[in-house]
Amino acid sequence: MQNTAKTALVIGAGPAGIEAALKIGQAGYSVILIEKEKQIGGMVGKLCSSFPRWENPQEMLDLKTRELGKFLSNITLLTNTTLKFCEPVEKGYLVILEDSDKELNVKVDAVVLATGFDLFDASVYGEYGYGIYPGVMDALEFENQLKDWSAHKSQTEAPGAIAFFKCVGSRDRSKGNPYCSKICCMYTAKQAGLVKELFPETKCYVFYMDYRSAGKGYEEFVRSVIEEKHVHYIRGRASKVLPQNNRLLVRAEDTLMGIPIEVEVDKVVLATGVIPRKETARLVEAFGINTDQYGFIESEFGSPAKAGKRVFFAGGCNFAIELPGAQYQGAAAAAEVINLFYQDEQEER
Amino acid sequence: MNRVRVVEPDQRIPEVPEAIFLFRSCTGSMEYPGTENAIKEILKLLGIEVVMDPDQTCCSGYLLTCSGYLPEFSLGVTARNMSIIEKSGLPPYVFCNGCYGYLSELTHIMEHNPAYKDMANGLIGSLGYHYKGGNNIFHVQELYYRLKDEIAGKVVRPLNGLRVGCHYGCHYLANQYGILDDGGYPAFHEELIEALGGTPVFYKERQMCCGYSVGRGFTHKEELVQPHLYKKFKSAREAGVELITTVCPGCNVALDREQPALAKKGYEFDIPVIDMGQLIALALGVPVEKLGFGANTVSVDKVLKKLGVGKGD
Repeated sequence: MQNTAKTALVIGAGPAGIEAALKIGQAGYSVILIEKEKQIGGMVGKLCSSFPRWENPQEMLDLKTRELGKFLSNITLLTNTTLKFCEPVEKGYLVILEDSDKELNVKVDAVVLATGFDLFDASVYGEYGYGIYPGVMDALEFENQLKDWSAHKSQTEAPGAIAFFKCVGSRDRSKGNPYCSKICCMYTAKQAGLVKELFPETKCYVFYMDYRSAGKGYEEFVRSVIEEKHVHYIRGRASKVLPQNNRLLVRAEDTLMGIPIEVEVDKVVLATGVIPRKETARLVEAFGINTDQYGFIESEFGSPAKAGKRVFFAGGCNFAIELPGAQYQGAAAAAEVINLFYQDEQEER
Repeated sequence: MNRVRVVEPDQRIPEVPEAIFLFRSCTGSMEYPGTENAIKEILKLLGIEVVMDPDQTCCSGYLLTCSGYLPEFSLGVTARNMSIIEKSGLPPYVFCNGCYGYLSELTHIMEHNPAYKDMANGLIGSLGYHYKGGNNIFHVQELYYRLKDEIAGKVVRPLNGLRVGCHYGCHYLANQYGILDDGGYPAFHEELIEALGGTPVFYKERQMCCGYSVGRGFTHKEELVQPHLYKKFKSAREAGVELITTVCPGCNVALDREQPALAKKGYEFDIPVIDMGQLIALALGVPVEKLGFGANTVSVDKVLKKLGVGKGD
């Protein structure tokens, strides 16, 4: 039985948005899934591997794309598309969606925001020289580098050493971000582990305050990176990156040994923290919903996926989240939407 | 929580003052009297009146750092100095990072703890002073940077590509909030050097501390400070630095006066160290005898010679 009288708008086709769209579509309702980029996948599409099982995120995306393909009668995917305008009406919103050459006016009965997160601007840490020394990169740039190395391994000269700095833009009140971005400990372990997988001779140093690995299989994952892949974990924040011998000199303190240390490396990877997307702020205003002091969407009391009147959310627009978490939230938002539509139908009868 | 850490010069100093209260530095005025003089000469050329008050004392930070006396006493000294500044009705400008750091910090403490302010006022009240509060502390380097273009326009003795290594000093940048540049990678001094026609050199250890706080007769005189400074000077020499500038007399003392001690151990660097104000004054054509280079331990002569300035210019 198909009931396509009700339509949900899902904004953002990352893992959370895709999951929400799929579940709502599979329940028999209409879904418009919009994505501002050309490609679906959001952050996940930019990643080289995943934790805690070293899976290829592209395979997961391909699987989801195939699933979306099976429900084309219900789910309309519009890439390169953004929300231009919205107006609340009775039991829903009138929205105008726009891509490069046309606009689409449509009435939707519910909205799911799944706009994802952004990364902290690492250039705020002048001492690390991001944007000054070419060898210093943020986490997402390094994912791209890893993809490149994986694709052209035989033509690549193995780097001598790589340093990873954790908590760049996380847990740092002086930079305005006192919160823990939660995913960086895990993605840093993954990145360092991948380097060792590609180039076993490359030395990897991870500078950490403490590592947080709360999740199924997470602690074992980090331990395996340290013990089996031989990534060096050094407890202490790095204080300075300087150019030396065409490489980078890292100054830090090993707080467990109580000594200052210096290591020369070829790359410094900054485990940049998570911040809300600028675009989210516009949507928050358009739908009249609440955010926390940083700009992450806040849930209404009693529902972990509801942000306002017929507005739900999932994934990184609420806070830093890893891939499985984004999918849980997408499914949770979908359950709320399906429930709402079902209630509507009961009333209409 | 403050996201605005670095401010633009015209945010920091929206309007260039017609007159300033120049807060004298003990170390600066005693060790290198030419610094204070250079500032007065520059400001005269820029049309800014300098007001000073002989009643002003040391900022008191120096002994506070070494726990020489109780912090309450420092609050009293700061409140007294601030009340003198308030009486002048002018914005206070310091020329020492130490004065900048301590005045900012101690006034901040009093601003946010009325009980401390009352206590300090109690201490100075019997002497006839009263501190109201709410002042902003500036450093003359901020004024130089604010007036960079005006200064560049007045250069009559360009530095001819002189390779200058800047030393910022910790106590300005470490303030972290509301300062002119990123404390982790500052570059506004280098911009000033360019404006004067010099070649700024980003030597590797340019941000390394001068070692003054532990070096000049305090806790670790030789064994810690000398290897530390050796590292700094070595990197400066390798980068071809001909002159180091400071904006803090403490740094100037540490970097200048310690070089003979290093030379005695066989590490001769012979890199002159002067205040940024002295260099600006030099470029603006202030007669060299007004700049007090005779007080420097490492002779500035070879730099003066390179600039074509005789000692008796």
